[in-house]
Amino acid sequence: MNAVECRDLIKAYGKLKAVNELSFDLEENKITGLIGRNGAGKTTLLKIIAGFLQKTAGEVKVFAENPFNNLTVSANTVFVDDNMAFPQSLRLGELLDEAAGFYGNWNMGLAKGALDYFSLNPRHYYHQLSKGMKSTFNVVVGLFARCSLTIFDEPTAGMDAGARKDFYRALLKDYLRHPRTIILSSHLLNEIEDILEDILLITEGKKLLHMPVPNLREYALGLRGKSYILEDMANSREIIHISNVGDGYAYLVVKNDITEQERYKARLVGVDITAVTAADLCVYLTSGKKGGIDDVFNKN
Amino acid sequence: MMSLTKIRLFYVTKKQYKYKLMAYSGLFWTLAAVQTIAILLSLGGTGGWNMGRGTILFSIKTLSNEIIVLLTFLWAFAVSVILTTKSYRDGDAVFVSNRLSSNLANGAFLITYCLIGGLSAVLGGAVLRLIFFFSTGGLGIVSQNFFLSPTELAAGFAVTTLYLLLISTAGYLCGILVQCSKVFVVILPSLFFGVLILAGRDAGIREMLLQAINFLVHESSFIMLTLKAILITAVVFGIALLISNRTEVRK
Amino acid sequence: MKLDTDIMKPIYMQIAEWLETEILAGNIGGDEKMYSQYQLAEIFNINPATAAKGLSILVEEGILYKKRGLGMFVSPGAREGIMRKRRDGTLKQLIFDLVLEAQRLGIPENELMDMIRMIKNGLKGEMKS
Repeated sequence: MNAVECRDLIKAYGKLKAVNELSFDLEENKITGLIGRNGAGKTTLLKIIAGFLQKTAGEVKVFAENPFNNLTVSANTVFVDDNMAFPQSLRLGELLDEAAGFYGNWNMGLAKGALDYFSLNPRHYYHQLSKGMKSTFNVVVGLFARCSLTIFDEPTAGMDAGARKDFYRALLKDYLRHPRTIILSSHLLNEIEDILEDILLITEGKKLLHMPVPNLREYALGLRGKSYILEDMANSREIIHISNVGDGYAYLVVKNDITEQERYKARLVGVDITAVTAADLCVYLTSGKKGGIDDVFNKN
Repeated sequence: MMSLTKIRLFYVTKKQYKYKLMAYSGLFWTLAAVQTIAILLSLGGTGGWNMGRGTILFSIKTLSNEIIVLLTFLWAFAVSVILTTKSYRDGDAVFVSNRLSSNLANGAFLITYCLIGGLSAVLGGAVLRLIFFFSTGGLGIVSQNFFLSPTELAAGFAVTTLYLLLISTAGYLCGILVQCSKVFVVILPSLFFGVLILAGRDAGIREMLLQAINFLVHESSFIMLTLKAILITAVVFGIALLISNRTEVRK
Repeated sequence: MKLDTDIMKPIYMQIAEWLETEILAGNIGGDEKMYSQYQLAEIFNINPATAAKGLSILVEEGILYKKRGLGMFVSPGAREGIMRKRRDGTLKQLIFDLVLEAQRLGIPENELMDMIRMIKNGLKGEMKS
């Protein structure tokens, strides 16, 4: 059963289409990474799924229902971003108590334990916290609400690397204990790819690809060597990225359909073949210009 | 099939209402501040006149809780508008809600603070009298009904609360309209002052306005007043509910 | 064990190889229960689906077998199978890399053999003590 289904979803603001005929399905109980550049439409998409924004056209179903203004979807969804409107007058501990009343699966023991672990004082007020501590509190709430659909929209703003690592670990551990559908949108793909199952890559409101992380990691190969050798190899191939790195050398990224033989030959002529990380691949696929920023330097 | 939490509107509304009581408790402090200021302002007397004949001069001051009630009305109107603003609506959407549950919870909260406002306004009037009594030693007071009987207090409380309900609901609707379109920030005040100005010039409009006001203000039967107030409140709130049901949150 | 995310080898392959090494070392014997995808996920801090892929590779190769409702178990002949596979596959690949590198550095054959012998003896010494 699919937790989320979208068919030709459109969200337009005047003439600008933030979400542009997006279609995909999210199977339940998977951790999916939503990846894309700034302005690609990730937040808009997530807010439509959470039921906060109205679609302009197309179809969106969450738990087989229309999520907008839907109490059942709201009760089973938690949306964490860096703008949680917690009231000024409640302490952190009181906020946890309130959350417990709203969410049926809330786990108070873990929530309090996490608060303690991250050195968050339950007697403090939310607005007194630093940006990083606010984010930490937000993700604690999001995690231990244990909602069937848990959405994190760039939740780690201001968190230091250690806190982020702890968050990913906590996310994985609680997911293993209490499986649920999780959508994690982040710019730090290299940090989160190990705990993701699938990646949904979008650009300019459209879906570029939606596939399991291992497939994405094997999707392309990076070739580094003399430009004229690479130009040869690039012929009749789909170029994902190419850039001159100076001194007659170039870096070429192509789809991973190079035969063993070609690979063997390439290595013999000094072409270095490396894997392309999912994070880099997503950057290349979503960049408008195939040459990267090196072009700016090469042309001027 | 996933096991989804089934939830009922009544339960969510109740939870949201209690949440608002906790989260917006600060508003009641502002009420206390406003009414304290009102009491201070009233200490000089809320009305009065001087008279004199020959070598005898006397001044009369009248005292009532007019200022307290007026300021409470303003406070209630402001609070209702504030409830409809972005950060408060986003606050509803942090946990579990939909537009209907938010509005209903706001309605329950509204009734609550109207009751509290009405009660404290009436008691404020009593406080005023007490202050006066003790400060003047009781000598300078000329009045038959200086000390309010419990029935009078209760009646005052009920009536003040009903008027607060009307004003708050009107404020809520105004707030909702403004949220729908910023245009109303201009339209609504213009309408309000426009009618007043026109009433000043044109006798016909003045008549209509007075009739509308008297419909509520000069109602002698308490039961009728209650019915009218509750009906109008329900209708206005219903309109606000319908209008806001398709609004987006957390944009 | 830290996972190498830069290398050409996918994580699920690294998991599979780590499990093979565990079996080779005798830590998990024939007909004994193998770690579940969830246990592996927690141990390596990865998504259980990735761990499951590693496990399924071993099932395909016959190193593990599935018992309905109970999980994955190590096949009786697994250890021998792994030794065979590594000799014919992985070891050969390592030797290829070694020879290629030696060629690049211009190291003659007998010098290469000497180096190999030296390291082998060094290891033997270590393992004895």
